[in-house]
Amino acid sequence: METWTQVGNVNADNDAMLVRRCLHGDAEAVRLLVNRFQGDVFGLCVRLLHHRHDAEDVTQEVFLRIFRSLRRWDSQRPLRPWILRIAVNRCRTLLAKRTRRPELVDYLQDSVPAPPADDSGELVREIEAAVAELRLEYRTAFVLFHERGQPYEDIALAMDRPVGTIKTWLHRARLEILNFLRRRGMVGDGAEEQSSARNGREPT
Amino acid sequence: MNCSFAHEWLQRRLDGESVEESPLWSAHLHECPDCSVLVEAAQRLQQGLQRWPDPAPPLGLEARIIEAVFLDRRRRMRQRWVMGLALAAGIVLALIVRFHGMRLSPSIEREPDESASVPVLPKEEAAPTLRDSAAELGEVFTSLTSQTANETVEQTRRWVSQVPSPTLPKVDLLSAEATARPLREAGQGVSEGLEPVTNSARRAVGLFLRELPPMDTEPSGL
Repeated sequence: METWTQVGNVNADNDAMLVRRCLHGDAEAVRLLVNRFQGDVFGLCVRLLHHRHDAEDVTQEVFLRIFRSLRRWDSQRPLRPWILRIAVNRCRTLLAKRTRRPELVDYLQDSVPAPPADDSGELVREIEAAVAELRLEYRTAFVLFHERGQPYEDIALAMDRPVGTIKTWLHRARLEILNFLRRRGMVGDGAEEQSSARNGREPT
Repeated sequence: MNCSFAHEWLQRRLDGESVEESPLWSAHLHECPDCSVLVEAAQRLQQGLQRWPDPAPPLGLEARIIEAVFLDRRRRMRQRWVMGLALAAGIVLALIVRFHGMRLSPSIEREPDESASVPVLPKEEAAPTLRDSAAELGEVFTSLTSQTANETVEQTRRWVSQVPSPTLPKVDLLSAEATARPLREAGQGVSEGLEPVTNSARRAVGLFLRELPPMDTEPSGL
């Protein structure tokens, strides 16, 4: 059975080779690198910015920055957190600009793909609303862990914070979301009432 | 078991760890409604996260990114070339003004040859060539530099004459010589190090001058 370290080493070797090829101007390697990481970068940008068009623009900008500074990547460290760190920084910059010009922003416009229209749709929408209310650090840690599946160590690298801080942020994020779901009646009797209201019948 | 321990247990479960539900844990949930609701909310969160749609990148984004990356790469390479060329041109121009001006300055001041069979028009009528302009600029620069140097030397001389000569202690010339030797060697090293630069600059100026059109020795229209 492969250990985490072995898998990590294989990935690191692949990443290092890919980066070397990119630096030598290999167009196929550039395409591979974009293909490998665009999902993570775009997904993170959508969740942090809540705006698909902005997320597309920022994703493109992130990749431009990645290729401009690829020489500065330390091949002893994993590539993905380094890329995600650039994405987090670009999103933070854009959000700071938005704060300065709030009238130009429509957070709800064209945000994320609509969740499925069955009973779980309501729950997903509430979770999205709860995530959107989190402060940026908590939201980033939550999305990187629960949606992008990144381990604590890589999130710490991506956010340039110690692992302990990331754990604290993630735990607080979860508690805030759980409390949000409680307040919104998605748990216990409230959930049953909501479900009944949707189905048009009295709660039992 | 208390609430903080229950929260810790819950977080480990949300981390994806496989934690056993002990009888103590079940008993705490039974008697603590807050923790009980929290656990239920956590279960709902896990359900919701499983159905959370991944925001897939739109079709064509990858192609747009790659195109932008290559465009950016070409643009930056072009910028680098332009900057390098501008820098080189600036250096070459500065060297031309300095060296070529110095070299041509005596010939400009030379009197026209009396024995020449072709009459020479007055200077005002001849259009100044690039070489003339460069020479003139070099001449001005040289004369200004030499004037400033002369003034400085003269002023220093005046100051030195006003200063009373102190009684200097006797110096051991042999030890002074030994002290000065490293300095002299360092100076020699620097001048040797700069020699290739000087040679390159000289060659560059030579190449540039070779490219210049020949000077008009005969005035036009005659």
